Amino acid sequence: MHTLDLHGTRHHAVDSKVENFVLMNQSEVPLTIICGNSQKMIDLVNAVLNRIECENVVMDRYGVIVIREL
Amino acid sequence: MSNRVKPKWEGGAVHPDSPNKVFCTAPWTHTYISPQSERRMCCASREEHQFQKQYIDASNDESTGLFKESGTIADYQPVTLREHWNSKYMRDIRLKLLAGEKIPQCDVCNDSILSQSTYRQWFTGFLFQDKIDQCYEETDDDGYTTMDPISFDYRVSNLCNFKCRMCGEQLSSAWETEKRQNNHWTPESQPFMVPENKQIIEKFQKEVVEEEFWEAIKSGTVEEIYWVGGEPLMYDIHWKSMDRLSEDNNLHKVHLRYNSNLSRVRYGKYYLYDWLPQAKDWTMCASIDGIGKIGEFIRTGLDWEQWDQNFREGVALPGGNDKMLMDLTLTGPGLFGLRDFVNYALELDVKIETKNMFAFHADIVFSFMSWPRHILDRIVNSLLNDLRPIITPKQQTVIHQLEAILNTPTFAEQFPDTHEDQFFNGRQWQKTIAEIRDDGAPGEALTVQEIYKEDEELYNWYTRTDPKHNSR
Repeated sequence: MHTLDLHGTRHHAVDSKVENFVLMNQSEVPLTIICGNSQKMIDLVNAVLNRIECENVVMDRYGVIVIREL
Repeated sequence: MSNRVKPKWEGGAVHPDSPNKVFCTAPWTHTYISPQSERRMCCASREEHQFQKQYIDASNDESTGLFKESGTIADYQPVTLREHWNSKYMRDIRLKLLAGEKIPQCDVCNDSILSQSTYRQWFTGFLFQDKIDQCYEETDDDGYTTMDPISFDYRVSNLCNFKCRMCGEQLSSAWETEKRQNNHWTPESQPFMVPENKQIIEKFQKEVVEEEFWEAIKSGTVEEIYWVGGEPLMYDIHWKSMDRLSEDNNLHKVHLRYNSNLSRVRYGKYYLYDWLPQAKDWTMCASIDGIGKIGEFIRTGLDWEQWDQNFREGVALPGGNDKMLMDLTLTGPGLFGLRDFVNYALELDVKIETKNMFAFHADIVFSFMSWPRHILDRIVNSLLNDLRPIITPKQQTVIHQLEAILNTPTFAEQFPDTHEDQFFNGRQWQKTIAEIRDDGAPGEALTVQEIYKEDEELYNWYTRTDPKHNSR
């Protein structure tokens, strides 16, 4: 499964990193994004996923977002 | 000795008495690759695809007699730059251009198909006029050249966050997403979208294409980069290369040319506008086809306020109002925002680079070429009357392009037997896109017909029904 680990990523870099990751790997869903425990980071990731209209997004484990369907 | 006829260029244009009017330096200096690894002489050349046809390919146009469908992954046989550069195909092209022979691959420039200012002028009249003699001297009788590419247009992927209505999945991953979500694709029509194929292509683009480009960057030999995509400001390789050029103090050797949607000018710690003034010269062709709501409609993904801010920051750089260009693709809906568009350019005192929407098929109803001749002429003449008195030389391409429209055959004139059927097909496609992209906000979603309401005759024509096509 394709995974993007955002540990060590600065908040200002999250937007482009997540958008690029999803768009580049869209044919390989599910995609996993590891945000860690920062609520701010989770919010930033969700804002991107909403903007690019990912259709089926879950967070079964806190801080780990899985895009099941675009 | 092969036949050689030297061209004569003066002041950026081929001399009227030049014995060779078709020579171009691009096959000696420049190289292009598409996100699907199709190599071309330049992005405007009309060649035949091997695997995935490109929008402008001769093999994507029935009128050329070369039309063929996209291939399968078995046809995906990408070659390295080294293999391509002095291939039999390239050598043959060089010999023909040296001899002054007009070749169909260069029809976009030969016939000014997309724009009045041609790519040949760019490479031969402006960028590399000083290398014309070298091209003749360093090419042997079978077309082999010892010159290496120093100008790159490498589109490493289709990564792009916009879904501009005149674009498509080959050059936009956001379009690709939408097509996947709505099952608007087939492995036969878009083999590059098959997941297994995508992996193969991505591997080549990453391991071969990006690497050969990176080697050129490190060598310090690059003299021009055309950053285009996809969206180049989303490419990691863009920011990595620019950082390296800057660190090596090589940026001052490079002419930078961008074609960007300008949705972002920052990437992590990097700020694009820190680098541009370091370059030998730079041009930012910021794609924009309408301002405000019309722009956001044509270019789905555009946030006008953000674009405006990013553009103004560029204009504020030294020489910015000569180097920041509004890169306009004229479309049917866009003509209705053209007066505001020109006024914006006048306010900022910036250039407009104008081209027509690519339209070689009559189902491209987003193009004004689908309109009836008399309506098109009336609307274009009205625009010309309003714009001619206010425009400055910086926006002159708008006038040139509008004038050219008056002399370009409409779809009805080009395809008299099929254009009507194709119109209804194309209109249905626009309707489908509108339904997908309608965010449900009342009164917010523009459509082609909403925009055309401004002109009653056009609106009535566009929304007409026909007994044969009642269901559409």
